[in-house]
Amino acid sequence: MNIINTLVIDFHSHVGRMGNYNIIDDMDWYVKNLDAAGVDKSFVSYIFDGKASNCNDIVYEFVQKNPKRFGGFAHVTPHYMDEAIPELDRAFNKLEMKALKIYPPFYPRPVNHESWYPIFEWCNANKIPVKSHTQYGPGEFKNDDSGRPILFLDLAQKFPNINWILAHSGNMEEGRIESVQAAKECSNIYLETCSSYGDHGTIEYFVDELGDDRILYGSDLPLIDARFGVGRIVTAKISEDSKRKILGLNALKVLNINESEISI
Amino acid sequence: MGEVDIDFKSSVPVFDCNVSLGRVHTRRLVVDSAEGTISAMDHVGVGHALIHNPYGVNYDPVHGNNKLMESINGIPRFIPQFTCNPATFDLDSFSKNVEINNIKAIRMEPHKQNFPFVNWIVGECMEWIVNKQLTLFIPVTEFNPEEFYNTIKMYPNSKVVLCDLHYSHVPWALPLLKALPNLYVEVSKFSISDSLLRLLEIVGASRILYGSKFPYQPMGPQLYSLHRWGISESTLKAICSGNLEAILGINI
Repeated sequence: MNIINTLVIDFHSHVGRMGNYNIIDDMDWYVKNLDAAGVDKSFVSYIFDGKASNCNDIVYEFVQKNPKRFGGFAHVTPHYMDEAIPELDRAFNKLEMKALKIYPPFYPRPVNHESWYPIFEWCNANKIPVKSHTQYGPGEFKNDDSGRPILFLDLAQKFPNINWILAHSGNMEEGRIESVQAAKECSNIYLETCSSYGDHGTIEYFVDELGDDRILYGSDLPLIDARFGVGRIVTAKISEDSKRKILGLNALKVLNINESEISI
Repeated sequence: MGEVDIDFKSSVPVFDCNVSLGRVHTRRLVVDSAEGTISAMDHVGVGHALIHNPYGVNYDPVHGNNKLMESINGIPRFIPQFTCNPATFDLDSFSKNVEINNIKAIRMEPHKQNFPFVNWIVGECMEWIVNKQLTLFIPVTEFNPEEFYNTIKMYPNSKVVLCDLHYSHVPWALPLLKALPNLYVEVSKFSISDSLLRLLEIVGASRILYGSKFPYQPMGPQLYSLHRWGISESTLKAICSGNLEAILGINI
């Protein structure tokens, strides 16, 4: 056993009731879970309401209850592009969101289709990080091809002021390979680690192929317990320095924040 | 700042109940050898593993079980688990092979093997499993819940372990565990928030088994997580090894 204190920032969690999994979004419960996992701060989003402003209001209200432990990621959708740009302005200039979360499978065109561009142009102009659900591989989730990792290569080149975070790093092996390929070619692409599919050796593969500076710990809380995701990092066969970077230090750079704003 | 165990190794004995050993034809696995599996076990402190062969699960149980015994090759840390297809196998010869190799655990994957988990297919095999006091392992993705419930409730003395439970199965799998007291649950993929608390409330500590689903998942994360719930050492030990030893009737 080697208990250490190190900064842990969760780059991927959700708020909002999920009755389908018997999950409620109780603040005290979240804090207990983060404490048990050793997480200092968790960045939350909500993406399941068709009206994006409702999503962002839910996130804002949640974060305001405990801003030391939680930060907000905004959500908008190209289904209602007329609402998306004003909502981006509200989310980042009034609601203090730190990044944008998008979910390509909710939309019938690939994430690099030009119908998404107004959203990305706004983020590029304002240097807002964009985190996207990514998944690619065999199985029942064919809609997820709209956010397959390789598509972000195109976007990262077209919108170079955006730091692109590939949530789940493509999930399956095919997706992970594409994620690494995209990140190797574009220095503004980051890999985030939460997944229900990560093979043995996944974290080691990312570090071997990409180095340890652009990998970010995420939990997927409350669908996945925060302890499990931390366990993926600390039990990987990588150096202690790499573990510290992935658990929290890299996130500081992506979000352009100081450690003093995070530590509890 | 966050407190983490940066070089984690289990503090209690661990007997992993869900490990696959061998190659598959669709991809190159990160680990497909006995040596690689033992190295992964040593890294996080897993002492023993219940092992099945993927060829037996995906295609032919007879050849898969033979491959299993070849790859285990007498390694005492590996406990063999045989795969069977009750729709196509010869029970007499399978039974003999189970006895010769001192097998305690049977694995069925009905969807992959193209049979429904209904009594008119699996009944004879279930009776044999109960009579021989063997334990059946079956992934939750491999059966129709209604068929499974109706079949297992006919064998209240059977010992059945549900594997690969995921958060997406919560709405029906937790009621299933509650409804059938002879069901045990393996936790390799069950990492939904409050996962252990939910299971402790529904089935109690004696019906929860640590498994990793290695090499499709690493052995460490769930083991690390189990060590961070604040449960007693005796409960942790039971989940990590004692419960599995008890249902298999072996002492590692």
